[in-house]
Amino acid sequence: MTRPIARTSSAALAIALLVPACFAVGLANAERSGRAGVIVSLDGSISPRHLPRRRPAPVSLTLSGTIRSDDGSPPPRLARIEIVFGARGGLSTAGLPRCPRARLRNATRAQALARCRAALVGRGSILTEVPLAPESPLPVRAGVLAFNGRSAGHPAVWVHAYSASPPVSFVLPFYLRSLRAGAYGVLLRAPVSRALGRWPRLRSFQITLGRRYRAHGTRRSYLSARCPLPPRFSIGFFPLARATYHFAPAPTLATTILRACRVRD
Amino acid sequence: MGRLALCLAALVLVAPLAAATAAEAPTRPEYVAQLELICKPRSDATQRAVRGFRADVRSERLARAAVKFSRAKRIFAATVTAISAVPRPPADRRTLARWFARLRSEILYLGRTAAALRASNVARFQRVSARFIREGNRANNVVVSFGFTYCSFKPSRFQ
Repeated sequence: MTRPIARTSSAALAIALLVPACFAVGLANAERSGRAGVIVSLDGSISPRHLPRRRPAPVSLTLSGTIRSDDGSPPPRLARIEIVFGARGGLSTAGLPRCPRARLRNATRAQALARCRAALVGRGSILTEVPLAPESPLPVRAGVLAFNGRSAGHPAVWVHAYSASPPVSFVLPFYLRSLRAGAYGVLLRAPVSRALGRWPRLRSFQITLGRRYRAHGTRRSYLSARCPLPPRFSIGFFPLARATYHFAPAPTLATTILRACRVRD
Repeated sequence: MGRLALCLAALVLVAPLAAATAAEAPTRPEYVAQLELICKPRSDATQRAVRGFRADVRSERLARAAVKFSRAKRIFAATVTAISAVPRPPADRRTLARWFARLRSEILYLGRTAAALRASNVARFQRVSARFIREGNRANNVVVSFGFTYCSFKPSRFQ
């Protein structure tokens, strides 16, 4: 039984100290993992990186990933992707307007914004390939907008993708669950192949999630975080996120990214 | 004439040796399987050796944390020695040479991290452990297509 995330208004993306480390030395490169000829990567950052030690502060989270094969051939089809981040909660949707998924279907970017701007929680882009001719698949780069939604009593993120040329519009649903055990607090799961249909194959994505809003007279943040380091420490690494890519029929690849935070007192 | 005979003799002696070496060279999947067999028990041993390290650092029991990290360094160094002795697939020799160079840097950083903890030098510990993590990620990226599980660098083993 999972705790509904939507009502945890004060929940914080509590950053777990892993190995205290120097802020000056960044991890610029994405972490990668590979098996059976498939290589996936995950990169990410949190903004701002200067965070209070105890009190959660509003943040935005940027995540990006790529999928490729080690010999340049088309990689297998991605069936679903799971992304976990944060710890002990981390996401608040209390008082945030929701957008019904049906309102985004077949919508252009402008139409999606006109219908659901109040529920906007993120932006980004994705690259898919349509293998009309297997030797030279058609790349489709689409801008994405992320909207706050709800599915089966749980919060969700509807990622609306739109490309004018070639004309493509689809909604990639990310279902959210809170995690009670482990280093992370929030799980995002997207049935990629079911949402994209038979042809488009996801190759890369980049999305920034974050929103400050006002509800019931108080200021809130969609995501919040802290940097809970011991007293003598001012800088630390924390597991920012882990992405698990499930390909059909195989393999399953997981990548974890560590990033730095700095205490702001 | 004498020189030609010498060359022929050398060829006769060396050719079977080279053929035998080629026959003994493992394929990449065989090599990965051999290394994973070596790495698995040592990876488990590392996790046992550093159990409670994170709590020690948080509670500023830095000397105790240093002992645990030193133990992890010894296991890591022994693992690198053991896996570097395994015959490598000829096609991957250059890649693996780069990987082993990174792994040797990791040993260095592990030692420096332990030393910083022993000296209760928090600033130095923060700096060196960052390099340790960065170098570990670089090492992983060199052999990403090999699909290692236990032989890949996972910072979570050191928490």
